[in-house]
Amino acid sequence: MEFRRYNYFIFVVLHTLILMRDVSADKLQDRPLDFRQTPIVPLHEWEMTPGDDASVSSLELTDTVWTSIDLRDKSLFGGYDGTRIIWLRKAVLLDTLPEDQHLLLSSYYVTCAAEFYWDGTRIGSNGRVGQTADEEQPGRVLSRVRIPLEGIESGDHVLAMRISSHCRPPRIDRIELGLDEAFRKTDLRTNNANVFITAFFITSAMLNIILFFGFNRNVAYLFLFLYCVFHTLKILMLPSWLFLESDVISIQFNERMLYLFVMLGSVSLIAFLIYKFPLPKKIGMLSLAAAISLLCFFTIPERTFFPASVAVTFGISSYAAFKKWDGRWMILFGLIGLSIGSALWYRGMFNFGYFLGIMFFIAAMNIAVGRQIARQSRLHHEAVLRSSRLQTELLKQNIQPHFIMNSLTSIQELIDTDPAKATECIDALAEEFRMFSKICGETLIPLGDELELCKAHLKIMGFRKDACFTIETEGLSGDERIPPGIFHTLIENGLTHGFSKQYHGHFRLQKETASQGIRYILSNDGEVSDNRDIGHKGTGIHYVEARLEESFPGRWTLHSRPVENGWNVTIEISDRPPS
Amino acid sequence: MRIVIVEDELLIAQRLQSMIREILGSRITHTAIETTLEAASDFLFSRPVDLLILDLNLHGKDGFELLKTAVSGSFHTIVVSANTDKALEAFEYGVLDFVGKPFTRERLQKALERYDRIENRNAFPTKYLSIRNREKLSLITIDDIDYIQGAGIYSEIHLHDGKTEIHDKTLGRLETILPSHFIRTHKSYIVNIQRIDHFRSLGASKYEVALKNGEILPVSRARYKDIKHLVP
Repeated sequence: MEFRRYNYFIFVVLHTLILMRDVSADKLQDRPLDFRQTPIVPLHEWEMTPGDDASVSSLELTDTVWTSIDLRDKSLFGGYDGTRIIWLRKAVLLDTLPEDQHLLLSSYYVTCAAEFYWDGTRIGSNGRVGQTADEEQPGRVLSRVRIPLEGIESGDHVLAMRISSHCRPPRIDRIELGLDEAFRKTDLRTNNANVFITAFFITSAMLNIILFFGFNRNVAYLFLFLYCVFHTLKILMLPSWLFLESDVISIQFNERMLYLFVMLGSVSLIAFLIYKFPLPKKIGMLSLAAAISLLCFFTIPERTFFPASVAVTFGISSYAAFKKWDGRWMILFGLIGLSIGSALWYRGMFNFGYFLGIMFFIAAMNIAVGRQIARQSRLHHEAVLRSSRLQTELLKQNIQPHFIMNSLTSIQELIDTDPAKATECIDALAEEFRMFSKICGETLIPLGDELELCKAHLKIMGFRKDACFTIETEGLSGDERIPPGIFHTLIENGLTHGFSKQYHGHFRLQKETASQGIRYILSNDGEVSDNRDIGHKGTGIHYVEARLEESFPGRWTLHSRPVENGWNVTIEISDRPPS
Repeated sequence: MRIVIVEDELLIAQRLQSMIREILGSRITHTAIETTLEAASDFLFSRPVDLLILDLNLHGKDGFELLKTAVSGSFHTIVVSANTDKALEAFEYGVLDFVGKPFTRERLQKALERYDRIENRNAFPTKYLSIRNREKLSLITIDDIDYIQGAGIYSEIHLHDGKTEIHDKTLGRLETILPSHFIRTHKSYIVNIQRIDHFRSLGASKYEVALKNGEILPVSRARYKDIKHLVP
């Protein structure tokens, strides 16, 4: 079942990868554009000239100074000299087009306005190019202009753009030439992918908020919920999806919001790790992470911040791996997927890498959480079962046929031979059962009650074996809380194994202060002749150990060993929780 | 009759002893009480004993080891125990009876009556015979036995695979604990019905039985009438 779930996940990831693959750039100059093979061709390399000379839109004039540029170069307009209008041109060698297809020029995120020229003829614009800021009207995020049918015969052509940007340095994200049907398909795929990713984030967010409220308000789930929410908001804010129709100036706000969500997402992720792992000083660490992230938000760009935050999460998870904390491998696994995805995206190799990386991480977390919940519920179930089993065991100890039937047989004999003793024995038996019914449902009882039980038991065994068994105590107040039946069990063990030949038995229960808590020592003067029993744990000792573990998990010790003239059982219970 | 009581609780041991004395009266020649397994084992195989009264749970130890040893002896064993859930298992090893605690005089009497009355054979069949061979115990599955031949104070057990084992019990005592498909065909033979091929009359009121493996065993005239209808 689990395997099929992974399989499905891998299938979705691969499918999205195939759908979203980037169209690789082609060398334009050497051979004609073949739209049958590559229906959408990105145009990265252009020639640029500043200023506004309408004559540059054709290839023929040569007295203008042209600079070769590559739009993939992010520092392209870094040294922007304040020229408000620039021209870009590019030679395009066309092959014949497939029939019934239009050729479109697509521009994505070009500030602020642009006009498009084909062989010196203006074929369309996005916004209005202006000589002054007032004249200028910003275009929309995505613009598609059709190349006129008469201009697309095979051979050399010149594509030119006149761009004005009065408020800020120009920005040109993507210019593509392609067939209209191909663009339609790409748009549909992009939209589907975005819907899929958004749905995934929202579902995961809901899952984690349910987990938060359903599982003891574990804060880690709350932060994973926030992580999903911020990524949902980020994808909704992407200019390339719901804001394609907006103008490129109003979208500037989104850019800032995107960074904000990335920053908040990173803080949520770090917070998730802080609360997921048993790290100390959680609030302090979280505050520090939040403060540094906020500082980064105002001082360094997103492209620097994001890798740095991933590095921090790797740091925390590696520490968790070093400390062997629960869930470390799944988190590291998720983070590696996240890093690979976003690294591919950073290098421009894979458009949806960033989101797929995040989705991979969230999916890994969801699987980890699912497994953890399954484990917790199993442990809980086991604990309940163990507790009820112990209770049954205690009850069984006293109503087991061996004890009760032998007692009854002894009483039968006493009735015939010594009726007064028979009455006494029945009394002791009744007392033992009264104590049992009082304590058997508890997990901790006063030591005084336990002693009453032990005394009644010793009395009955004394009658049965025609012996004299006594118990003395030292340092006990009687109020100490202990699991029910533990000393009774140990005394019963002692009687069974230590007094097959002697008809006097003396037990002694001592309490001492130990270095980190208290120590009980139960000793008897029974024989230690039978070597087979040394080092062998009977069901009695197992019962005592299980009870101690139930009430004092990890902070008790029990030693049972022969001593001079008898047997000695030492139980130490520490005040301190286990390290 | 020499009786040993192995019981670690003195009151119960005393009760058993006094009741057995009442029931058997002058038939008893000797009774002894042992409270530990070790002492009991020493006693049982060093002196002649006719009947062992055994508690299965002595000082927390498993009485079944002693039981397996005990049933290999020449004496009969009656288990007296509080662990009645072990009764069936005890019967499989060939005990004469299993008396649960607490018990009445009547129940104990019924158990003691089985000592010499085959008609009171118990309803739970014996499955194994315990054989003691040079201080080593081995178990024989009852169904592997073809027939048993009496040889004085012990018996020769002839197994299906051709082997022969010696059991310390007399043929009479084995007959009391064997399941009902073992029949006494002769004063010296007990045969497993499932291994009988046919009876043969030799004339002059002489009979014999042929086993499936070809062996021929004598059948006494008196017993033939009782058993001839058992084999087709």
